[in-house]
Amino acid sequence: MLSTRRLRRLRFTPFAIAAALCCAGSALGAQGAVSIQGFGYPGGELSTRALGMGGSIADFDANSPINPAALLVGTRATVYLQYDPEFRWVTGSGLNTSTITARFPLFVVSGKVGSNARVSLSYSSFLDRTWTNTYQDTQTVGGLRIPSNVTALSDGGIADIRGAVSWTFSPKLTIGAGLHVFPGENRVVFGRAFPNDTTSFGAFSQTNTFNFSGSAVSFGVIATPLTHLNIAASARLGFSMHVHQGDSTTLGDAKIPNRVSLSAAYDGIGGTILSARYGNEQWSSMRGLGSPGLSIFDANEFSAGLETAGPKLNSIPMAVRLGFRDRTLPFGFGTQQVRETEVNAGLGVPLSQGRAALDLTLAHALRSAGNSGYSETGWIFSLGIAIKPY
Amino acid sequence: MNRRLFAVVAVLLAAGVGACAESLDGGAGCPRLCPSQTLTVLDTVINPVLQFDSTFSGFPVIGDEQEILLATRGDTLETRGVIRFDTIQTSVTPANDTAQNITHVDSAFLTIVLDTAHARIPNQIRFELYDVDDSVETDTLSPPVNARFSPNRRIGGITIARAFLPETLKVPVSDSAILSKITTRGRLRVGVRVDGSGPAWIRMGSTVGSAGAVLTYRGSLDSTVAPLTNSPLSNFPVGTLEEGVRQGLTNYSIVAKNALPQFSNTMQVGGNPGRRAYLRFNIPSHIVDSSTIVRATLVLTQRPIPYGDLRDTMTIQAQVVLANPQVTDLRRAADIISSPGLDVSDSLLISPRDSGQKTINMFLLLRAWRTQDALLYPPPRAVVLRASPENVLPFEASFFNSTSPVGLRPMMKISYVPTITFGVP
Repeated sequence: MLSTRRLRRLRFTPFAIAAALCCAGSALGAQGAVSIQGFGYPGGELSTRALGMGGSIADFDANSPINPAALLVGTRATVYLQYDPEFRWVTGSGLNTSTITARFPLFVVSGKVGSNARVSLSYSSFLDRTWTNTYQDTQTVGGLRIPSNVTALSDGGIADIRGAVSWTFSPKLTIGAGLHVFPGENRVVFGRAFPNDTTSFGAFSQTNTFNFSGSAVSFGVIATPLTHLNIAASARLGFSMHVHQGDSTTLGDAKIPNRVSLSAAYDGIGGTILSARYGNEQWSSMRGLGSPGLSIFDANEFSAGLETAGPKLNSIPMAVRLGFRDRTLPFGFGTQQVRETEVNAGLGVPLSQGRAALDLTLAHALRSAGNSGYSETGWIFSLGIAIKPY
Repeated sequence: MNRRLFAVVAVLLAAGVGACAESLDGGAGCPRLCPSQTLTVLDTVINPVLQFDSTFSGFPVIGDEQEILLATRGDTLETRGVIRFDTIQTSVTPANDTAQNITHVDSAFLTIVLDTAHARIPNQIRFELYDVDDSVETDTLSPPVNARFSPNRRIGGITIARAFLPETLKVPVSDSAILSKITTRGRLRVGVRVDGSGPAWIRMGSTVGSAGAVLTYRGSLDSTVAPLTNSPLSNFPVGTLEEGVRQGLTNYSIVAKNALPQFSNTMQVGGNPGRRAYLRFNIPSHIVDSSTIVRATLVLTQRPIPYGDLRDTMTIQAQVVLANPQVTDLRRAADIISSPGLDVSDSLLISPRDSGQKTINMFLLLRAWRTQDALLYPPPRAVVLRASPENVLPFEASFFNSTSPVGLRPMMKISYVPTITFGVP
């Protein structure tokens, strides 16, 4: 099975340009945050362009592996790469901490087959459970309360690898289907040291490695029932998923969450697209994968956005994007579900006479966990590079 | 317009590049925002923890003591020292003359180095020297040598007040005795004992600790001839294979009397001659082999020795037995041990008169035992309790052993983290 660790290496390889900009390549994230509870943070599998519009265009976006029918939009062979660092601040109850996390969440290759069919192969981050924590607390050993330094680390997550095909029946109707596999690996390390008395108390560290597997199919349609009004719908039907320890012991069985979304886009204003999207994802079907106390919720998402022609670069207009997204996250803090509200803005910069495109998005996310008293602010900078050689 | 565009793009790219310098640690939010980040530490008491134990005597081997204990504790303990001068100078060479056999000896004395730490020195302490040489080589046996500490063999001594006791003491030796030895056998073996107005014990330097005694005398009436100095040397037993024994007999300690009570159901550590307790452990494999030991404390219950002062203290080391299972002689195995501090960094500082529970931390050792299972011949899970130093202090400790009642026998408190599946949210 293709492990997530291997995927993480693979995903870095095509990102050589972006990686070369980095001075430290580790992709570790951080917990101790509101958004990365449970099995991790769902980025939403949005391309930079879709993120710039709050995700509202995701069902129409060829580079977002959401709706397989959206491949119609990609009329040329495309290689798409994405880099999403996030600056995060967590506050509440006297807590004020910040982290910076880098993600490479999306890689897509798509192309045209014949005149009506298009195919795509994508890798995306389904759930990212990568974080590191070091902190001090007290451990009771043999009835004694001993100061200790804790190191907790989680590395990995679950990926979504999709092979998809779309078929265009007419300019007003395209359908698509996708086959998904969800490999994953999550290495969890927990250690504790007793720096005040190393002769009496021994530090310990244990590592567990989990492997995930699962599959799903997805379907989608894009239709234009009225001039300038486009409707898209997509659904993912999840099959079984499992978590193993090592390669043998099965720790849990569950289902890949079903997902549905419905979107509308209006392009009746010259050079402008207005879009809105509603989505629902049945994350609770993953409950069997975790412990009985796993705080997991189904999640809803609503987003709206616009994309309009902006200033021209070498006679080709750039795209200016604005978006809004309001959603709930699947993994809560205690009994509290986490809510995320995003305000997004972005640019689409055509390069090389349209043979390449650079998408930039800045997303401001506010996350809160009910009345827990904790909230989180995230600034996500998303950079997508699409290369369209022919 | 393009300039503005480039500025915007540059700012966004800079933000992206800035994120490459990740700051990953979200620990400041923990433990409040880090639910389930813990591994349960289990505590257990293993009693009995010993498969068996044994006490062996005679450590270290004769002559290996760093110092020589001179002790006289009334009816309970008396130890003495023997120093061999198996080659002494029998001639002098006056200036501008040839060597001449010694026919006159004067100003003879024995210089000994004293260690007054942990000593019991009465108001008046007497150092007595005896001629313990004999025509029969019986020095390795204590009784014949002890028998030579008789008044008719006394060849020197000094009584000195505690307040004036120096660290380097010159004990006068009979000139005629030295001359006799020079003219007859050409060697001298000196027995040293102390006595005084009360219990007395003090340590004397030895050649092992580079503080051996020195025998000095003048061999000529000519005052220009320098005094002769002789260092300890042993020539017996002869033979290449006996070199170690021979060196050990250069200066050594012998026990003339040890009437300290030996209790049943106990193990003894220290004393004279030195005793070691060999402890073979029996710890469930699911703890040693399948868990991470966080803390392991060997609990010993001390039985008081009804002699001495409560202020007297001795150090006890727990040292790991390295002898593999093929060494079935446990006394020999008790001598094949690790250096102090290896895997058991803890030690005991106790008073022999004290009682109650004493503890030794040994989690590192239990962790090491786990890794030793991979060896072809893993050593037994055993440690040796020994006094540090051995046979140079008149202190002995007694602990209840594995045949003692449940509440008194050795036990081990262990805190461990079992190997479990964790990390599933």
